[in-house]
Amino acid sequence: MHLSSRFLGAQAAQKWDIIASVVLSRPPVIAPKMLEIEKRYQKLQLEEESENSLMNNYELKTKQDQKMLARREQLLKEGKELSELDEEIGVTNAVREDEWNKKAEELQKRYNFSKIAEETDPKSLSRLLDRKLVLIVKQNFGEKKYSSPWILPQMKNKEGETLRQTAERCIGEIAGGDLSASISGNAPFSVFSHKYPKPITQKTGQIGAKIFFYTANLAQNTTDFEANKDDVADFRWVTREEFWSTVPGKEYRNASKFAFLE
Amino acid sequence: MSLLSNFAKLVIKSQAQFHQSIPSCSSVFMKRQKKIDPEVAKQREARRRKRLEKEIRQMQKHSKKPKPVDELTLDVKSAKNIEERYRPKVEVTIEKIDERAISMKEYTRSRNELQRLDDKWIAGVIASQRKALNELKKLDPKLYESAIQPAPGDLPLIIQGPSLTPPIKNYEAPDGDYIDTTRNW
Repeated sequence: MHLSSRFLGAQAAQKWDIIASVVLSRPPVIAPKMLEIEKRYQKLQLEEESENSLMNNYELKTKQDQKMLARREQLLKEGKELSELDEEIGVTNAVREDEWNKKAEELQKRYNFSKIAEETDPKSLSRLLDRKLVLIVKQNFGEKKYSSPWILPQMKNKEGETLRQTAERCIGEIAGGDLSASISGNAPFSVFSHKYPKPITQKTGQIGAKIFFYTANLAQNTTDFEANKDDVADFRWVTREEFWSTVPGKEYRNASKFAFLE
Repeated sequence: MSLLSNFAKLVIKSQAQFHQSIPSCSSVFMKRQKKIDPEVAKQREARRRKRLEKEIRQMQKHSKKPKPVDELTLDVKSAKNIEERYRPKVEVTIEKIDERAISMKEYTRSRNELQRLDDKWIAGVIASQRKALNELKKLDPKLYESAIQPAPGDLPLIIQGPSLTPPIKNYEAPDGDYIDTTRNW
């Protein structure tokens, strides 16, 4: 019994190619916009909180300033000496606020915080900053450089290599330059079985491929990504919806759907 | 009693009573022990005991004192003019109260929904992973063994952000010194 099961296992391993695939993602850079419910709740909560709060020192100073200015007005009408009172008033909060606003405007002009440049190039990492993007590629396989349809980058497991090491090698090979990304965990999160067409099965004796999926995240503040041109014919960074409409094969998409948690 | 027996007794006694002080005690290099008045000794003992007791009390007192929580302590300076700090009372209309209550309900419902989705996702991904590992076990037990090992290098995972605005390209931070103002306890 024992022997036969081991024999079967060895046979199965021969018949299936073991492949590691990586869902390499760029996490959202900026927080998504608040929903209508969230916005309303925040507004009302802030209102309630400020109603129940005590005044802080700054507000007290503002109140004091208003009183002093009113007195100054009165003295001005009566035509009295103002220098002593002016000294007492010093810098009012209104003057300070003006200064701060001016500074803020300057910064706004220099850095353009509110206007985020809309990037439309699907190869760019600075597109859709509030979404999670995933790398899909048209990968070259074999000596004839057969180019695959849109898939998640993948690589065949070599003898003596763990699956995670294969996944790491995969990231290293599809990236043109230096790329820092971290794979999470030693265990794949999903598997997809792909049967080869008959001619290939007859030629190689392999029934098909089992693709094991790993997730990986780009290091924070990665701004550039270049693909290795020998291995990758084309690449894109896509959202979940784009992934669904671009990548063929419903089973394949379903196998990797858990990587799209946002 | 014979004289002889008497003599023998004397010899034995003198041998038993023969005493020699320990030579080192009378060494010239040793300091001579001062004789202390027992009254004084008692006083000293009492004093020492008192001092130790006091020290123990001090230590216990300090050991039981927890670190102060700044947020919970009363800011004496601000509490002095607390009367000035009260805001004028706002009359909240019934509509406003209703609006607030409804908004809170909506909000909690939406959070609950998110939580439900999260749970669903976790359950799904665990099932999916189990299936993948089972497949792997059938294909290659060695790869399976390596896949179920813990990956201590991946933890702790520290993620920052996301922030409200994207990082500014080519931003040069102004120079400055980092001063750690954390109090030590």
